[in-house]
Amino acid sequence: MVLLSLEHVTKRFLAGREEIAVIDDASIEINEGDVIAIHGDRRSGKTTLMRIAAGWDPPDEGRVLFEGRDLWVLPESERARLRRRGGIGFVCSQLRTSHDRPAIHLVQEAAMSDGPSIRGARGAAHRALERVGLAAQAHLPSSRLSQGELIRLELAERLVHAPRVLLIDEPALLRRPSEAAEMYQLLRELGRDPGLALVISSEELAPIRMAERVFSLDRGRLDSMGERGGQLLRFPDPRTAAERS
Amino acid sequence: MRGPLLALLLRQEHPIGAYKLATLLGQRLPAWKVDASAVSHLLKRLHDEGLVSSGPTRRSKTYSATAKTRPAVEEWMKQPLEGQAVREELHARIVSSAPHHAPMLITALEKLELEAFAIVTSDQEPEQARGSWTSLTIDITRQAEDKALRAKIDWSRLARHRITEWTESQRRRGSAEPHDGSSVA
Repeated sequence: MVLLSLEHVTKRFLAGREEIAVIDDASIEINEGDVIAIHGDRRSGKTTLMRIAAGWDPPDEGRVLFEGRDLWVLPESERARLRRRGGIGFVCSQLRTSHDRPAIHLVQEAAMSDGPSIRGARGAAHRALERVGLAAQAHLPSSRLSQGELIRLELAERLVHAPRVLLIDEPALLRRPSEAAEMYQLLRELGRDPGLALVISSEELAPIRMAERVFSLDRGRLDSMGERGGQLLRFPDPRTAAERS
Repeated sequence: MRGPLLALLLRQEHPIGAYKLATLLGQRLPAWKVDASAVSHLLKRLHDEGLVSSGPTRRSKTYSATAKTRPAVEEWMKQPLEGQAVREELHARIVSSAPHHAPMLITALEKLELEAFAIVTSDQEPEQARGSWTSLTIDITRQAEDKALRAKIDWSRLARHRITEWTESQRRRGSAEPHDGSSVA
């Protein structure tokens, strides 16, 4: 079942006097329980694509559909609701929490926006922190957490809403290599949840190893590279082929 | 070395000696560590096949392209890239190419990139106890492989973009191909 789809999405930005397509006619369908890796180097448009998929930014052209509903036809309140319970979670380095409060409070606060009681939210927060391997640090202020732990905290803040799609932008560009390996281990475990579709964008190749489907984002062009165990699909891109002939 | 040497010879306006050819080839393909005596031996073989002609000068033997040289270069450029040293072979083809080879170079670069992805997607995660020495060593080895594959992917993309941009800029300027590789090296 298709949960989230991007249909011919284009996003342009001004670069000096020139307008450039940071995302150029990108299409992708994300199904229930999918694990998808989007590989792209720096400045390939990964964060822009993920922000659009998460409903944070509107595309200039094309549509973003969640369960068949166009996100940018929905009222803002409805889009915001989708970022909470049972919708789309987005973990991004640019959004990392800066509040210097105990981890449990931050996750509990996120849980409370879904409307449960304080006790219910606390229980949910504990479970989310446990799921990301941060139970032991639950009462530490976020300023005492390592870079990797902060990402785990952010994951817990999203997981507490029980999203159906979780978009993660550059999860493991961490100073300590062992933290990166542990992060991928955690993502692998999250990827086994059949109720959660996981989309990981990274310049690293490691997410490709855990993904069922692989995409390449290169200068805004999103191409399917194929599926695990299947034949790799990419090339020739229809436009490139036309240019060549 | 055969293909790049013939392509290089094709670009020469005047007959050229083996040592000079070896120097030029070494400048184009530094990683190949071109040896002048190997070039000299290869030229003799190519001469026997009619792919190069030789003529004595006052000091030493010089070599030129023949009518068979260009078809041999074109045939080499079209050969599928296979084996362990694909990237090195592709370097040789790029440096020996002319503008009309751009489409086939782009195809070869795409294939290189795709194969790098295929290595990663076909790689199965072994189930190892977290924190064990074995998992650490597997992880470190993977990182080394990933870095090499990423370098390959990055270079392939960069090369494709540069060739595409160059081709488009030439098209925008409305010029015919400025030269097809026949200029002096």
